[in-house]
Amino acid sequence: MPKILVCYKWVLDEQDIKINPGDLSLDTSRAKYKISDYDKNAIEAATQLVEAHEGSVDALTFGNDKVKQSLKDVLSRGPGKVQWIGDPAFEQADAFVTANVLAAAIRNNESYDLIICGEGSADSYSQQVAPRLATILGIPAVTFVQELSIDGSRIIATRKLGDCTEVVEVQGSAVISVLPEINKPRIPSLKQVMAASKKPSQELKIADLQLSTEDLQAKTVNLSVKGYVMNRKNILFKETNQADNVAKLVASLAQEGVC
Amino acid sequence: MSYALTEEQELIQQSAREFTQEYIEPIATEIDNTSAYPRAVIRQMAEHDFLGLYLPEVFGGTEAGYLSYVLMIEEISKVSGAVASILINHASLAAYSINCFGTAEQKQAYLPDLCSGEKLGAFALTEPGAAPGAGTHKVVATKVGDNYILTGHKCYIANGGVADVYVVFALTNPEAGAKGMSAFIVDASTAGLTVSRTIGKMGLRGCPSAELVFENVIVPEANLLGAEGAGMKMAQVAQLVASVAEGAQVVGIAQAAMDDAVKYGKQRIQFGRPIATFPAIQTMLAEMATNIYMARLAVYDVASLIEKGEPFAKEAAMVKLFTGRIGQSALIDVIQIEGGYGYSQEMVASRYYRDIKGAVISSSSAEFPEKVIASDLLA
Repeated sequence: MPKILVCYKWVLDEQDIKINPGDLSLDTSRAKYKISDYDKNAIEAATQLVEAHEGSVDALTFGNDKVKQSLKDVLSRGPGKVQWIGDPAFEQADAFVTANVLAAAIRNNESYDLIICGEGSADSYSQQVAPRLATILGIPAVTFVQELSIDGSRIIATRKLGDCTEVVEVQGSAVISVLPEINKPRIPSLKQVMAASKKPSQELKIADLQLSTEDLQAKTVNLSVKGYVMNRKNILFKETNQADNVAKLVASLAQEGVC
Repeated sequence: MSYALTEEQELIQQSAREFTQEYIEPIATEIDNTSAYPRAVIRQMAEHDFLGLYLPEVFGGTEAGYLSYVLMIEEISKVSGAVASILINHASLAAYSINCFGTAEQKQAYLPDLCSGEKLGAFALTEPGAAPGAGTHKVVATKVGDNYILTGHKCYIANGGVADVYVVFALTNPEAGAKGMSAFIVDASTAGLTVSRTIGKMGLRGCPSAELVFENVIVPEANLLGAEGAGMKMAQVAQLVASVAEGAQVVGIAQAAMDDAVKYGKQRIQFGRPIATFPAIQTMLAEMATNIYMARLAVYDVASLIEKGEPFAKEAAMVKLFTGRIGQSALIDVIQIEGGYGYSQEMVASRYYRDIKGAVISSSSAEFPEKVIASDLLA
């Protein structure tokens, strides 16, 4: 019976973010948070495995002081309990800090047969947390996973690479990062939503994780985030001869480096 | 807006939104085009516990409260007013009546299947002619031994023909008029109960409206709902409860229509700039946005009153009155903003326009909301 941990990130819902037309800065004042999309695939993958093999799924998250809002949401999607580390000081935590904190929290717990993450987060999408986590924990990382199964103590994963797929087998514990095509996350039933309140959650404090100052110092600093606006060129070709219009269009595209 | 929703309420709203976008939105236009009852989606809704959301856990419901329920109705209405109507008639009218007025035995016999979606409910009040019991085909219930024999016609019965359980209003004392009306729980399979026809509608297509014929339908005395003669009072209460859900339905449809108009207004270029930059368009959008916001607050507030078991009749009637006005005016403006595009049958705005009219006139046959409000003020 596998003991699985799923890690997830509580991110701003990009649909609620507006771009200020003047300086292209992001207006997040009305943005709600959500579980990062690929992490929903990770939660679903873990939940399907324990439905097939019994066992248990725990969830773990690290973020700013808003992560507490995520607990019932994640618990409604399958995990039996959740641990969370929420600290406003880590608003800008990068993949380095995140992996250090998650690894310390995992070491704080019992061991897991399998740790599942999403391939990347919906906000920064660095794709680094899963491999970093595996490195710190000293266990294999299997990334870009589109199929996942367990056979006894063997973990069998199909990885989607550039132009081929690769099937790998891992004996013992591993960190897996999954792609969105691995499954279609379930929509929690309303009874599952209500039942989430009765599942346990536990707060962990950074101070209790025995991390050094260096472990908690971000390697990457976010200097600015700006919206990307696509403007039309508003070029009209008005030659009477269509062939001339086509020639001008091709020339114009070539000038832009498109063809 | 937040209206200080609890985490559970926000998650139920989110779950309902995810569900409607995944399962209902892709088929909403088809439901409208074909008027076909969306059986598969109702089954999926049942699997997600939508059908017994506010009903007691002991009967298989989720017991999440009436506010959670109207949040769900609002989300469904954003994509399909018809599916919302099916649910309102099932949950706010039929199941509500049994839960509120039924005996322990009646609740145990019917609510588990209504909560699980094994059975669908309907509320059979309206009759041909005018008010219930006033027409020439009035449904009369005659007591014979331990049974009642029901005879007569009902019309415009939502979920008619697809429901498994009807809450039927019939005259047990025809001379007493409305005071002689009683309610019965009638299984759709009961001998003598037939659907004579389904009535085509302007909107809310897919939520079938049917004419029911009762020909010597034998209903056991045990299926009398509430006291004999209390039918009209029960119908009024159930319709007021439903009118809050219909308020959420109007808010949901109006919000979706406004979002569509905003999107259109930003894209449609006239005189070299988007029409949304014109003050005339902005005035219409600002007014409808304000009205929808106010209506939503009122809907949530009255749903909270119902949930807490506090008096709600006057406030529910206010919701009916206000949402009816602002919903219709919003859709008139949406069609105006979208012009020929909005008027086109192929676009969603015209469906919203037709559906909102249906939502506004639903559950309004028992009493005018103005009368309920004035009666309370003058009491």
